[in-house]
Parts: sequence; C-alpha cells; structure tokens
Amino acid sequence: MEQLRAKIIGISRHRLLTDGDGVTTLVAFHGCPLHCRHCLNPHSLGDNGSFSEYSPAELYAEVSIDELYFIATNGGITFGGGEPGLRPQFIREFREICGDAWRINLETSLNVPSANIRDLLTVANSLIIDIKDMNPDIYRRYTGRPNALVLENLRMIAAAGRQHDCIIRIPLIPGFNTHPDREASRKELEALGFTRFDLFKYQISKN
Amino acid sequence: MTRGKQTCKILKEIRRQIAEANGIELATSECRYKGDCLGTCPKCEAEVRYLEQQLRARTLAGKAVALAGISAGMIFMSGCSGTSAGNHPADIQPSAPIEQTETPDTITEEGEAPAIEDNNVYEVTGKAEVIIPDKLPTDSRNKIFTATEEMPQFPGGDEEEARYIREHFIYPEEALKKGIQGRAIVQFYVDTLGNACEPKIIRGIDPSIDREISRVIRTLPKYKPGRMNGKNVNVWRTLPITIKLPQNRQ
Repeated sequence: MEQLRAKIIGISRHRLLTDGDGVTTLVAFHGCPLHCRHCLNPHSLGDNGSFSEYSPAELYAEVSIDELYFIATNGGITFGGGEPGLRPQFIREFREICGDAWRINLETSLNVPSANIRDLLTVANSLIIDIKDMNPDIYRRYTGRPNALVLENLRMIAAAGRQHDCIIRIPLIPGFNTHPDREASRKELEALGFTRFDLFKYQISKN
Repeated sequence: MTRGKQTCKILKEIRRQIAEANGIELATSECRYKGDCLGTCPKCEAEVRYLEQQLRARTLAGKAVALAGISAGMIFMSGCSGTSAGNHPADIQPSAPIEQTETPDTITEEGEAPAIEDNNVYEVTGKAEVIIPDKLPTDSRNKIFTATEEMPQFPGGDEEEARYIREHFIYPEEALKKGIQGRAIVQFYVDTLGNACEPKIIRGIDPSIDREISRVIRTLPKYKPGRMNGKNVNVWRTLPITIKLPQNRQ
C-alpha cells in the first residue's frame, strides 16, 4: 500500500471547455518552480497551509464521483497547480488506479526536468502548455526563471511526435510582451511541429 | 445565465443522453432554483447515482451498456489558432483562486431536503423518483475528516495493516474458479474509538471479492484514532488492495 501523498490546493469539478475535452475535474497541486508576476493561484506557493494531502487512491475516491460524465464525454482529470510536472510518480499511480478510460490532461509550464515529462508523456493523453513567451528574456522577467528546460522539453515532445496532443497557450501579458513577440513565439513553435495554439490576453485585475 | 446554471443544463443533457442510449427511464424536471448554482446539487447528484445503479444492473444482467463517448461531441476543446473566450482559467483573477467545489446542501428544486454529506448512499427507487434518506447513519452525523493533525495508525504501521488484510482474506471459491484477480479500492473510516467502520468498495473487482474485502476490513484490530485539536476524531481511510490469484492458479 503506497505512502505517496501530494499536497493539493483545490479540486474543481465539472469544468467544461476550460481544460481539455469533455467534462473535466481540475486537480491543482501545491508547489511550482516559477514565480509569475500575475500568478493565478498564489496559494500554490509557500507553506501557508492552504492545501489537503491526498494519496492517489484517496484522490481517486473523491473524483470518481464524476466517472459517468468523464466516460460519456471523453473527459477526465486535468492536473494543474502549481506544477503537475513535479508529480510524475503520483500521476502515474493515479493512472494505474483510474484505468485507461479517463483522459488525463496536464496543465504544465514544462519548466521541470525532462525525465519528469518523459515519464508523464506515457500516462497523459494531452498537455496544455503554459508557454508564457518563447523569448528567454521576457520569460525570465515574467517568471523569474530561465526557460531552457521548457525549450528542451518542447524539443523532446516534438521528437516523440506528440505535438498534436498539445495545446500551447500563448498569452499577451501587458507590460511583458507584445503582439510581435507572440507571433515570434508561435513561429518558433510551428517550426517544431506544434499546431494547436490558444492565443489570449491576460486580464489584469486592479484589486 | 450564470455559469453554474449553464453547467447544470449541459450536465443534465448528458444524463438525458446516457439514459436514452440505454433505455433508462429518467424523468428530469426543470430546475426552479433561482440562487447561485455550482453546476450540480443533491438532486442532480442523485440522478447520476441512479443512472450508475441502472447501468450496473444492466451490466450484471449481461446487457450491453452504451456509455463511452456518447456525449463526446457536446464538449470539445479544439485549441485551434483562435482567441480564447473571456472565461479562461489563465485570465488573471487574483481574488478568485481555484474554487473548492463542494456539493451544496441547500439547493433543491422545491421544499427542504436533509443536508447531504459526501459518501452517503442514495436510495433510489425503480422509477426515476429519487429518495434521499432522511435517516442518516448516526456516525455520519459527526464529521468525518479526510486529513487530520494525527492520522489513524494501525498497530505496527501500514505494513502490518497490509499483512493483516493479506492473511485474513479468504479467496472466494467462485472467484478462484473463474480466475478473477485485480485491484480494488476500499474506503472506510476509523472512528474515535479506533474501529474500522462502514467499508465501501469504491472500485471493485468482483462482487464476491468485494464482499470478502469488506468483511476483512470490519475485522481489523483497533487503530490508534486520528486526532484533531487534541481530540479523537473520525477519519476516512482509503486503501488500494491488490488481489492476486495464488501462484498455482495463475
């Protein structure tokens, strides 16, 4: 019986169209290597205690309440966060428990060791990649980290021929990148064989 | 229309399609609730449990069940080179962290229904009428925690717990003959006295094996109960259990 446990900051059910096909449940991990200026879930960082600990089996017990919807709509679980790329062992264990009928999507920055992504590619159906910007300077300014690992992982995914399982989010981040920057990112990604993009603009809230 | 109501409408349509594809009678009525809706409510959840029960009955009766992907066309994320709609998870809403969705216990179509806690068994009649039990098990009235400061501990630790289950599990003759093995998940709670209570098979292998797992769980020796704020509390415990045929039967 496994002792593998992960800190989870939130479970959001019945998400439609936001993180993958079908009806999905978003499971958000605690912990992220980035410190984005406009982080959507700042409570995924730091040790502020706003999480619950789950084993893969406990998580399965909680999310399987929506199995009927998952199967009927080709939906399943989207692991986000935080950074699910830091949790390959947990997600692999979860896949063994939930079986092949559920889709597993990852919402990831890819800014994790390539061994993790290589491992996750064997259990995940699709990746929603939060690329920020391909330009290393813009990336570092916005996230506080270099994007060398991101680029390495993108090349690895391309070499594995899994580009079509990826949706790449290319945001326009006011104050950090511009439309031409975004076009440049897209061209670079297209050169690697990626075809599915999600272009959108960050809405910066005043409060 | 609020997002919750929209979600509710789509989920209801999926349930209708599942029922129709499998010849299940499901009489849904228009929800008249006017307040905030999270997309589901006890009544919607009870319909899902009813469908599950009906589908299980059909499977047991050897009938084909149509489920996989039957509503797939309804919600399809193309991810083509477009621009996202406003309702995007990556939109920055610092004041709106990920919602911890909980089943609301006050939304009902009409009248008052008793508060429903997770993990209740919903009783369902043969018709699409759903009856929510008004008499909940006594122990369910007390809160059952998922995580506590001190989790329940089996004497000797998790390895001993696994060993106890392994040694006390008697392979049902029927499953042995059919060569059935697999991985089950059982959930129960450890009460304030350390007893393993109300085992429920979350993912089963075979009815005979599932019954045997539940029997063994009920015989588990006392745990050291979980504690919260210096007090013993009820705590859920979920265990994956792998059942393998004896080597000479494989």
